Amino acid sequence: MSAQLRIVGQNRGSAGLVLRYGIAGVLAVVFLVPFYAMIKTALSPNDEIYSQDFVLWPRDPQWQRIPELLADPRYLDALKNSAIMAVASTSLTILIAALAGYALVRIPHRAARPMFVLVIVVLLVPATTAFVPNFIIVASLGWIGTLQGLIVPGLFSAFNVFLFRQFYVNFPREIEEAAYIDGAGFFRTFFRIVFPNTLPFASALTVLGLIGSWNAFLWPLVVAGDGQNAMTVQIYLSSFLTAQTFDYGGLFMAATVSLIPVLAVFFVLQRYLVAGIAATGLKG
Amino acid sequence: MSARTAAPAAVPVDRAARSGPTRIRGNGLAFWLFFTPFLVGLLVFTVLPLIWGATLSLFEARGTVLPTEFIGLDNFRGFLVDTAFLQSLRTFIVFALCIVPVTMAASLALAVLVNGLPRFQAFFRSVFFLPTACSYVVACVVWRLSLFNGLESGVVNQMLGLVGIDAISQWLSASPYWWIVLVSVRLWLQVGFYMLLFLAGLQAIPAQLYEAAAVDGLSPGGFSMFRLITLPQLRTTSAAVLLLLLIAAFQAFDEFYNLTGNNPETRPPLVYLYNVALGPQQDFGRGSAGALVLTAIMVLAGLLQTWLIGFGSDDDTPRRRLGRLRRRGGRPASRPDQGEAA
Amino acid sequence: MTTRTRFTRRGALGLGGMALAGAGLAACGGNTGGLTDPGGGGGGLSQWYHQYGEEGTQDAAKRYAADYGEATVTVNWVTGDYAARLSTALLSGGGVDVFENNAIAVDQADQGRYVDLTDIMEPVKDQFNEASLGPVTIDGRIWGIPMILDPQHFYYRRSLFEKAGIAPPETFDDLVAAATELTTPDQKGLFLGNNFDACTWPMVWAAGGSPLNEAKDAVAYNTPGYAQGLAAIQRMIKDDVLLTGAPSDWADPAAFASGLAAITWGGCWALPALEDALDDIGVFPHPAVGPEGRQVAFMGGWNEQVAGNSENIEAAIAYAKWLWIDQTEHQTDWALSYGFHIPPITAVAEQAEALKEGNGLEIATMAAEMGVTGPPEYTGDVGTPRDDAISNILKNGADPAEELAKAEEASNRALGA
Repeated sequence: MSAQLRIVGQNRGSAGLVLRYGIAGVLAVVFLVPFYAMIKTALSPNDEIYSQDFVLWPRDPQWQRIPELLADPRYLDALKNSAIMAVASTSLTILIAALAGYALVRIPHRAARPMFVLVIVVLLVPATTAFVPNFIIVASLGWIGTLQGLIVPGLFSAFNVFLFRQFYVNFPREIEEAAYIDGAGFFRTFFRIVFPNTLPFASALTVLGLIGSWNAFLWPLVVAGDGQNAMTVQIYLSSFLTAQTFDYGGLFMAATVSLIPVLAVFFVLQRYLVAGIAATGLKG
Repeated sequence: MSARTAAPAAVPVDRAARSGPTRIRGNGLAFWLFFTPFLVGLLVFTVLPLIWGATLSLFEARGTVLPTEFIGLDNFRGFLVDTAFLQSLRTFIVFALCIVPVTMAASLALAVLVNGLPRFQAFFRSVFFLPTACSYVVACVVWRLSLFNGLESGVVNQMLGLVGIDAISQWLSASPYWWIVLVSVRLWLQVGFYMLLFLAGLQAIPAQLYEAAAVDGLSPGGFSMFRLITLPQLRTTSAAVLLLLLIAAFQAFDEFYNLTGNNPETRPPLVYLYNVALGPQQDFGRGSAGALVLTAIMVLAGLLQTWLIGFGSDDDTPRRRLGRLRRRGGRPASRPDQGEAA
Repeated sequence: MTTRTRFTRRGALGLGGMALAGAGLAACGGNTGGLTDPGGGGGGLSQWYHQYGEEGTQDAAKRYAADYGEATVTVNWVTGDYAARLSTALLSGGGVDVFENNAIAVDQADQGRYVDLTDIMEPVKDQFNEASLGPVTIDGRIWGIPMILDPQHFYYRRSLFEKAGIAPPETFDDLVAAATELTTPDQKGLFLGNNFDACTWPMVWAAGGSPLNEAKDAVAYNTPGYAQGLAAIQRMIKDDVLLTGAPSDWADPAAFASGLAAITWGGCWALPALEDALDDIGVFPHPAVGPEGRQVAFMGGWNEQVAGNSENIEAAIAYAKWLWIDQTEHQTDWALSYGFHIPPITAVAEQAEALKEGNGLEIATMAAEMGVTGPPEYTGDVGTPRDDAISNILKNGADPAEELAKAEEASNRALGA
């Protein structure tokens, strides 16, 4: 009886398999349509963009938009600022959180418990609604329109401290013990022994952090200031949408190029990303 | 509690016994050396802003952050009569009612689909996950100016044309069309992420369960198998995804700011807050009060999340956590863990 | 109040340095101050412009700055939401000394964000076009130097009007009729912006009202004519007469130049681009709306101001005075070499060839005879209820009279607060 059923099921399965691949294939195409639309518009001459007639691919692709874009110092500045912000805030956030998380579980101290309670309490305060009070602080510091205004307020993530704490709770103690017996202090033990062994765990957070900061919008919008020293590539792109007039194809080319670094990170480090999301269950 | 969490707590005692007086003095310094960078940042960029904001919320602070005119709770009272604020909460509810179930269903369906593919699984997972790398701004540029522009040559209008529907020109200037644009852009951007969460959940389901069910007469890959085995096993993942989706929807800003501008019907709480505090009015008193109100709502949601699923620590299977929660009668999942830190 | 609300840049540096040192972030702590203002220090000035769409404007602005001998001026070309960026900078001292503004607001003046320019403007104010002075004057004090005037009005395709035997409309009903008649499957009759609201601000005057009453203690935009005009737009939306979902909005000439509509609301800045693209461009003012209505052209414009928290106020005033009052060559260049704007100094405008014939002359005449301007007392929180009402009426189909009545009440509450 059960053997019969299994055979029926398998038959249905192999027929269903074709259907499944069909659905997956169609969906994959649908998921890629926005990328196609973006690249097509980036290469379309302006009269095709405003035309009522649909063309599948521009008749006269405007490749010269790439060198034009890369000659725009404001765009290059925006890319540079985004890169600085992504790298600096990701690496510093992880370092700060790793240090604090390690202290909470591995350095015996009577403040450890109250500090952990503090971390848990802060964990509940959402970062997004904090943009108003944070703006007030950053404006008072004179940091509007500066890179430190962009980066520093986001470096102190209670969530990351919590994640590192959880990681160090389960960190094998034997390696550290050996270092302590050899007379190494906490600092040397941490940087020589512990932190290097943290990197596989940290790499998931790194990818999430890099992509998250490259794509961040609200806080960069709040602190953009005059948009010279601290304009990120997202703010650069968004400014087209609120401007009176703009170069339509140029905007799409700028959007396309802005995806290249983040897609590179995505493809190279994807397995960490997948592992990281499965492990933390939360977006960085 | 499990033996696992109890064990580390014992070790510091051993080490303290081994270390001489010098090491104990070193501990005090070392702890603060490690913890101070975070602590100072937390105080300056989280605690101080909260205190300053709370203070400002009690003052008339239009265009200034060092106000002098104390007005008590007037800023908070303002929200009760400000139709725009109440409307922003309504916008969130409408948006959440659209985006949450759609994303839940779509991400679960994608996960089941991908999980059932014997080959090329990684390829399809990557394609569905790819949009996660995209920013809201880039997606909004494409959605507003290319996919959903009102010309007949717009991509979506072309697709509608293929199935014989007239081109729609009011994508962003009339309801309900703008909800299609707003929901589809967020769905595209985030569905791959939640698909991964469900995939992890699916792959954690023990194969024996399916085998046992097959022995009991359920057909493999059939719907009853899905309903009786898969769905119940994904209960914890689903609860987590639901809450994450709700919180994310509450914090929606980017696509509304970039797609629909300042229309009161499509102005969620954060866009409202941005306009009050950083728009032309620069009302930091009311802005701070609004930030506090929204923060309070978020904290309540966060407490609920903590209570339900804990902090997603990786050494715990969801089922054990839920079971433990029930046994503990709903005390926060983090409580027992705190013991180790001491 | 004034001094309290300002931050000094030096104070901010101290605080910033302390916070950084405390956080122990050596990586970021090297240079806390240098980033605050690119043009600051050593008598340098930082000058802000919003992003003009016309080609060549940014280079021109830099050229004028380089021409000035008394101080080093750095031109800052600010993209995106200029109003928000500007008010943030004026609040926090974000490295701005001289700036252009198209929305001088009474509350910002009260808080000392602007420097009072009455002393330099009073002796020369008779030389300026009267309409240009309205938006910069509050209770007799003058806070800005008018740089350019930007009349807004309708553009239409002469050939299409002739073929259909239609004359440029003088009442809003005529406009609706013309737009309806000229709508074809390939071309909409009228473009009022993708949100349908491009002309709803000037319509306040065209319907016989005004933003504020004469005593300036209540709003006066809620007139029966205004509700009628908005209802007419609602009808056109329903009848599919209005263009929407165009790739770019009304302020950009591209949608109209591509032939997507027969009539459009527009700004004078678009005239050169439109005349390049099409050979049958005509202009007419906003038609009268309702029985109390009148024809109007809305006079937008930009004004140069000096920041209240500038560290070089004297130098900044001297530069602003040189650029927009004393020398006139750059004023003509700025107004007419790139886009098309009207120079606010009457003598300069009179010498401009572009204003002596054709559409240029018609726009200049409109501006002189029918120009209306918004008052500085009409601030952001007074205006928000009206903006929301317009949005509710045009996008959500709400009843115009009811929405306007509600908005009037809310605006007056904001005005009284």
